[in-house]
Amino acid sequence: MIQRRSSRLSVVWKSAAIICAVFLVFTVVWMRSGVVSLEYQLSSLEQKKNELMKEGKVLGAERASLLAVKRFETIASTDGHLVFPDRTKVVFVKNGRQGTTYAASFVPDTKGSRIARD
Amino acid sequence: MNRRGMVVVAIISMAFLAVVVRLADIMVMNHDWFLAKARGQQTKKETIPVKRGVIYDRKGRELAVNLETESVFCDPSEIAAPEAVAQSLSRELGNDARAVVTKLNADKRFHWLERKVELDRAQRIRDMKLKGIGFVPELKRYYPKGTLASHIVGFVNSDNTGLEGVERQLDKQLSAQTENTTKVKDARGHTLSEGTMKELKGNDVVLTIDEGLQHIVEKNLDGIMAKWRAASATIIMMDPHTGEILALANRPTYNLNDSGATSMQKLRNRAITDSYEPGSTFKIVVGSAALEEGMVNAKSSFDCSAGTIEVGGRRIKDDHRNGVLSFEEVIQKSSNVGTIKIGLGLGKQRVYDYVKKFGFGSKTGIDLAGEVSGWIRPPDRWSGMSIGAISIGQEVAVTPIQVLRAYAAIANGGLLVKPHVVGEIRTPQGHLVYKAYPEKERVLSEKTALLFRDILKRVTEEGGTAKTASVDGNEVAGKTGTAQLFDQQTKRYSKERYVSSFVGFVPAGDPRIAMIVVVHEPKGAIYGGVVAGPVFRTIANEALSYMSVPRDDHRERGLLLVSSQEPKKP
Repeated sequence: MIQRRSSRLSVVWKSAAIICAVFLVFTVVWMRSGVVSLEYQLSSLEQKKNELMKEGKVLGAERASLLAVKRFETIASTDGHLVFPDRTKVVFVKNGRQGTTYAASFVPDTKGSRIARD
Repeated sequence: MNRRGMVVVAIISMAFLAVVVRLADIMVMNHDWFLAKARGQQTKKETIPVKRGVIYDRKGRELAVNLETESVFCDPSEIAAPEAVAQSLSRELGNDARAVVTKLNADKRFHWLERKVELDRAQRIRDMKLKGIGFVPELKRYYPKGTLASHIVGFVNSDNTGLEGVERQLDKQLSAQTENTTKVKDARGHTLSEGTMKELKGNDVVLTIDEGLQHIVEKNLDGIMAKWRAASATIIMMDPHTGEILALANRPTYNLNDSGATSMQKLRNRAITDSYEPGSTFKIVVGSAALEEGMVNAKSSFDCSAGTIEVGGRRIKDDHRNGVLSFEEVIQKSSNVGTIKIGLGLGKQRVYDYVKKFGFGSKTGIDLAGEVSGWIRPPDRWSGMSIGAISIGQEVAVTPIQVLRAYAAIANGGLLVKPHVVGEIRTPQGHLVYKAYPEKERVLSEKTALLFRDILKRVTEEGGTAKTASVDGNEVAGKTGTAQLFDQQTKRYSKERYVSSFVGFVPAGDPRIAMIVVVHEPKGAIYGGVVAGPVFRTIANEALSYMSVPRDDHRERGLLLVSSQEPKKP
């Protein structure tokens, strides 16, 4: 009777051990495949990041070209019909309280006195 | 177990044993060999591309950046029909099909077809799916402002090594040490990332030049070249207090994005590499020396009524007879006779000492490659006429930057500053690696410098040689120069080829900019006051507006009432 019971327990233990071992193996394989899949995802994201960085650099270079002072002046003079400010019509004054300098232009009014504007 | 069962068990056991033995062979006995083989197949060593640092102007505007490109190569051994492939490629590469065929037939496994092709063009070639054609990502230097500041910024070769300008001078700072990285790949060649993405980038450089001022200078320099059909011209603008170069330009020039076939003539940064005889702009040396030594004062008089003077057997003339001139009038009217008399009064050694004190005959130390020191003989090798010639700016060779520096010393109260174009160097993370600080050396007392500054103001006033350089609203101090070029064939000074110049600073009372304009061989006019003076005026006008420098007379004119508040609506 005792022998039969111990034999049954041994079978249970062995089965449990095998199930644990199989579970462990599958867990390791599942985790490893998860890591590999993550590595693929990271690689794909890196590729996307690289593409965006490339595009960013091209756009940055284009922006720098578009912001060239020479281009501004050309557009201002041809399209906007603007001229470089005449210094006789620009006066720089001290801004009372802060003491900082800012520009103010003025135009003569009909009576000959001059009106200043910010 | 019956006999048949035992056989089956034996066969299965043998099979398992074989597997175990093989596993032991792979994993234990020949582990290292198999490991190396597996790593060789799964991992790939790649060089991380090094990005050069960005070059900025003083306000953070990009002057040199990096662009991603792809270089196209071929493996001729894999190309079956070179003619057909060449026909397809030449359309995209823009090359002659015959030249492409030659490369496709080359007797080697690797041949560049085109370096640094734009990404969209490379993609079009890739879409052709040609066998034996490959691509390597490469970084290309791009200069968004084209020709602007070409002689300062410089350029790189196809391997991104600096060849000219700051690109060359700071090549080590702008680039970084290359590194290799190992990438894991699967059987299909897909990369497995570990999540780390290393970027190698050189340090960023912030220059002292200002794009706005540089544009103003270059625009007017083009104007001079067109108007006077000059052989070459140079303009430098500097902060006289710190030595910061705000703008520097030469003509002829070149496009930084197309520097490959540029001639040496265009590449030369004449502001620092070309020396010339300065003529009258050099008269400040003997003038300020005489004041500093107490030999003269502003009202000391010199008899220049003869209009000529003989020194060492050579007769030197004034443009016209001036009569008796005060010291300040000698400078204002640029009298050769008066200046030579001052030089003779000082004597050889003192003239030489002051020439050296002002930095002539030595490099200024500007942080650009190729600077020359100019030239002056020591007094023991002077001829009888040398003291006269040197006093009026002959028998000396100077660079525009040296002359400008000497005038900056008058402008800032007697301190000789070291000119520089590099303001800061920062790591890609923004940490400061280098910051330029003004290096100054006193060469004149403040009293002498201020007195001479007032004398130079008279040059641009009524009766001076450079009324054309005066700026409305601000006083200008400066000096004209008209020097004959020495003709190597006739061994005489040419009567047709001149160097016209004007150097000065503005506002004279509180100088914000010092500037030199040098025009080589203008046609139609020769005098510095006619050729260079008006350009100084135009540039100074625009530059002072750009820099928001107030007029000297804004208080006296009582022009306005200004409020910083919004005007009330009626």
